[in-house]
Amino acid sequence: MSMGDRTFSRRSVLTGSLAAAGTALVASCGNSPSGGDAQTQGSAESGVINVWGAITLDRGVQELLDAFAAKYPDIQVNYEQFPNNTDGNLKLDTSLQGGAPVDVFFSYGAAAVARRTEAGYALDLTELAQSMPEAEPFTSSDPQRTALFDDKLFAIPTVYNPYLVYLNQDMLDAAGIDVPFDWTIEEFHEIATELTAGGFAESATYKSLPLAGMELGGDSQFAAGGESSSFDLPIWKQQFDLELAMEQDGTLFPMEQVLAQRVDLYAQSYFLGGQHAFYLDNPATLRFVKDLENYPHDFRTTFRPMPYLERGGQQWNTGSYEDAVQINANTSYPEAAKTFVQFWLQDGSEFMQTAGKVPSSLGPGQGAAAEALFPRLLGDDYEDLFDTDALTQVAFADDIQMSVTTITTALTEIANLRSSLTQQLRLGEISVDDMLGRLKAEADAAITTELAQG
Amino acid sequence: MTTTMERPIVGGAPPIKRRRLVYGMKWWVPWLFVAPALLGMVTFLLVPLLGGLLVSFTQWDVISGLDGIRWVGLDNFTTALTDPKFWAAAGRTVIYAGLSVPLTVALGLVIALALNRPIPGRGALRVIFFMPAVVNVIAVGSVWLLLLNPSSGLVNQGLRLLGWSEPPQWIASPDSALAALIIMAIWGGSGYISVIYVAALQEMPQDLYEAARLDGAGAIRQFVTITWPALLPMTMFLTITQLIGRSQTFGLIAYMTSGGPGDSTTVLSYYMYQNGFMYYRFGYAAAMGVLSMLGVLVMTLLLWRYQKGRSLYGDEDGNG
Repeated sequence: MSMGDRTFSRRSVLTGSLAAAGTALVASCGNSPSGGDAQTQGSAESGVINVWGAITLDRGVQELLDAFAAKYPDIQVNYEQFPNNTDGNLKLDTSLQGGAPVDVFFSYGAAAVARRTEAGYALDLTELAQSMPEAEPFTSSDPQRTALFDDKLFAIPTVYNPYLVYLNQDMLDAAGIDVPFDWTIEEFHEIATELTAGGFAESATYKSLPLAGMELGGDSQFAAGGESSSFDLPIWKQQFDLELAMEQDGTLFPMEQVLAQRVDLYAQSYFLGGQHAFYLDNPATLRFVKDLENYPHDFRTTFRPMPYLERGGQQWNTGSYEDAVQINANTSYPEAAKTFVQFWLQDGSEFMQTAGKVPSSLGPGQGAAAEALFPRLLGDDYEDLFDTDALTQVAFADDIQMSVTTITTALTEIANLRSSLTQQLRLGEISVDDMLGRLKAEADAAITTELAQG
Repeated sequence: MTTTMERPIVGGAPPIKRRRLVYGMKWWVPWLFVAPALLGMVTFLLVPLLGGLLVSFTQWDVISGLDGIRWVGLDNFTTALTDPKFWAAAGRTVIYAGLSVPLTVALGLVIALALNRPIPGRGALRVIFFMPAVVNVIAVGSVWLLLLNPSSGLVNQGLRLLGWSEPPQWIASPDSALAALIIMAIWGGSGYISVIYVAALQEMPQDLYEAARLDGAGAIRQFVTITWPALLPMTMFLTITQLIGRSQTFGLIAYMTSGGPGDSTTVLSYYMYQNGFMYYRFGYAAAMGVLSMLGVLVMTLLLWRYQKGRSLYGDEDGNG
């Protein structure tokens, strides 16, 4: 094209466009992780901080923010709620990377914590945690607490999340079944069969038992060293044999209906609707059980530990300390951010109990302290709705061994592989041996690729 | 308005003063008028396109920022071309688009031919057929989840009434999930196609039909010799735009099946999403996007060449 003496050839337009694209790409990369060299402003009592969390304001966060504002009137808090899913987490990641105002953020799951910490967006919180009795235990190398990075703590868990079995007490009473607290895998399956065969429940459970996690702990999917997967271990065959058997005998909610109804996000409805006998989850589900408006039911919920691989044996609880709070290494208000994190872990934790969040300051063997949580955690009618003795005995048992995930290589990809192959297994498309063969090969390939990319 | 341009003195020659005008305006005035559109196009089209192309030659997880970008040349492309999951996803995309596009266009044409006749309630029917095109994909998906439930869904209840004792499990089976998505795509797209066809049919010269009738041509003969050739350019346009859209289908699959059961509905767009947004392999996802774009481009060119010279009025330039 030509304009007067100015001539723009196609080549020059293309070159210019490529240059512009390159510039835009560089610009879009925003700030690189600085590791805490941002200019600091404010103080421990003043500043403006932006907090990113997945819990909605109506589930205790607004009360917490109000209490914080009353105590620290000179710290302005802007709360940004993001959905804890692929899109929501990517939104937080790109905001961190792009330099958007994020001062405090929550990471859900080991992979998210590791990704943000390794990218340099997390401030070292070791000293802060050591200054608080609620968080101090997380600074030790206790393998049941949390993962450290280079012996430093970059994420403080805010929630104690042991895995439990919720049971419909009225259904068990009607069937005349007494479930022992030290029940085994075999007894779990037998009782499930009895309840479904007797017509007391449509299915016994929505979720299957994570036997490998119970035997191997938080890194159950990896061989020692983390350079390959562990799906060739016998415990995985035992896990999927049981899952397939339960699918086939109808004690497990049929995969066909899982897929047809897309129930993965509201599976608790079946337990609270009286169709299922058990529900396997952490205390987060307590909020649904007490919510009689959305989940009307009149049965009492009791609790048991996850069934034992061997009666009297020690095993891992597949829950963990979760909902980790982190401070952006690039925050302009590090002191105000620390004040907020401290408040959330201390005075603020009571407000989060309404959302089924048991504070991370509690743990195994602390049942006596836990009873003070019941009014907020379980609601006003808790005596009628819950077997609180069983809850205390199960959720705060002395012998609970919480698990910690320390290897996060290709964790999301392996989860997707497992999900895809489990669907095929339960739909009768492949055998357990085929499934495990493919899972081992594909998971190993994913780990190798991820490690090669650094 | 004038502008004066001076050239440098060469070999001692006297300076030449030239006045350059473009329609009586300085050279930059026309640029001023096109600047907003040009800026928008460069910012929102060209830069992202070329940016994506650049990313396809890198290994980048986004969160590491500039420090995390690593130039890998053609590695992402060679990885894709040797990745069996990429080819499987590409194959599913071809099946999905290859079946849903022609069937959508064909059904849209049939509906248009019906709605082009003077039937009672024609306007209301056009609105009804067009409705799926404007309804949110999540709402559409929710309704289809109910309809296609293997045991309680209306579709299978109807099929059982018709004597099919074991009807398909639809999205609950790897054997029928893609077929279910194709049916939904046809349902969702044919109304829109029919509205475009109706507009084209109403512009058809009626004297051609009158002449054909005088010559004794029946309805089928009229369709084959007049209607179809006249609609061919429109059909090609609709086919190409639908092909481009279907090769990028994402929302319905993400909501209805998340690529399952197994990998049975993991089409290319969903596989790219998995690699980019779930596994943070944006370079690899971008490379697959480039390969996908090239595939669609080749298909588009083939279709374009096919229709040239075949329409009632010659090629697209009117050179019959």
